[in-house]
Amino acid sequence: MAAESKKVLYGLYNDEENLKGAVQTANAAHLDIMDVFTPFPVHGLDPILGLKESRLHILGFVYGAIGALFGFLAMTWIFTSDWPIVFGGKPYWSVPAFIPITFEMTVLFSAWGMTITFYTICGMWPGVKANTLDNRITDDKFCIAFDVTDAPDSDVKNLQGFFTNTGASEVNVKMM
Amino acid sequence: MKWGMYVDMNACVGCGACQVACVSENNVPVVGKGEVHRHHEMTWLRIDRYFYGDLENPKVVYQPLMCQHCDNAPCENVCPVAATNHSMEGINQMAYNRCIGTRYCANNCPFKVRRFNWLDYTTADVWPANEERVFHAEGDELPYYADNLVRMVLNPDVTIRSRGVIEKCTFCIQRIQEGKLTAKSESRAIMDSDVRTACQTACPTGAIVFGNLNNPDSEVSKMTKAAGAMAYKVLEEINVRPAVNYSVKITNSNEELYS
Repeated sequence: MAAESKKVLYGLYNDEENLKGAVQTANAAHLDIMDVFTPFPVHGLDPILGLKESRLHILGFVYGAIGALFGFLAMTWIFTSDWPIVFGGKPYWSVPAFIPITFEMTVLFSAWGMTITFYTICGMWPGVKANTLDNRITDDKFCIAFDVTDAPDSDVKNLQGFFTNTGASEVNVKMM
Repeated sequence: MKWGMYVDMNACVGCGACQVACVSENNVPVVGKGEVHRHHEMTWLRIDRYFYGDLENPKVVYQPLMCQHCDNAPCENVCPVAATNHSMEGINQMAYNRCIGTRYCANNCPFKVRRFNWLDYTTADVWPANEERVFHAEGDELPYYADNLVRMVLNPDVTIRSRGVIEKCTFCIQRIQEGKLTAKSESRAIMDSDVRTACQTACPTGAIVFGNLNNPDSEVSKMTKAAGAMAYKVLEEINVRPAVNYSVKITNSNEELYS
């Protein structure tokens, strides 16, 4: 997130269908798209962009397993050695009675773990400043962005032509 | 040590002295007719009556029913805060301070012997912030128990329970502790005469016997053994294993002898 180090050329589209068409055109022309920004999730965009399926759910399983193990072992320790109490004639280590809390710990660890991981990966910690290309891409504009920091002028012209041909309503350059 | 009780229903005459003794021993609030009408009765020991025979002139069986101190207590399993659990002496005990008043235990009790403090009957919680909302008999200026003279009726050995707390028969735990201390100070094993519950002392016919079930020579063990097949446990089929044995009431059905 170093300030003002990247030169970005981006075009705004009014419609998500235009955007999808433009991305396909860019793929066909072997243009190297830096990123695409949309105000809402656009169905069918991920496979066109070649994005892989998120691996967050694998971590969710791992966190859940840790939570289950933690809950079960904690209860085992509490009820067998730390503070044994007799409830309803059950043995101290009564596994069926541990199931609800083990389940709750699984859900808790999985949910919090995935949330924290997601925010960490996205670089969203408390107090972070939003660094958007254009405020309207959180409202009603769809954006394709190219990194043109080291690109020669001919490439930039080529990209501007691409935006014009695919129906972009606006083309801008921004340092970020 | 496993505390238990034997109730001889042949001896029971249904006088209700055990109930009165329990109320006065354990600071059980006297709630009055209005509260009883709302099913807020607080007695730890009640006398169930079972009628049979002729509709116009029925025969009756009295059964004093207190907390059965089940070994497999259904109430203990459902407490979310572990306020009720088993002591090492087989007593189903309550930690009043831990109780948050979910009433799951009362709902799960097969004998309906757990009592909930719907209101601050004994004024355990009287302070200016909530004084107006404590239990008031209509027309009285002060809550009944807030009067200093009335408070002298309370047994100092037993705590009073505040609003939102479940309470029930403790097998007179304060008397058990006292008996244990007596035995300890005299350096001997605890005897039957050391611990006598309030209901036991009040019973005019000696129908209630209390003692250590693990000691085969204790009175309660002997009485239960002597009753033989006549001894039974209430709702035995649900396998909660109560610590209280009842004996079947035997009557001579000969019309000339029994009327």
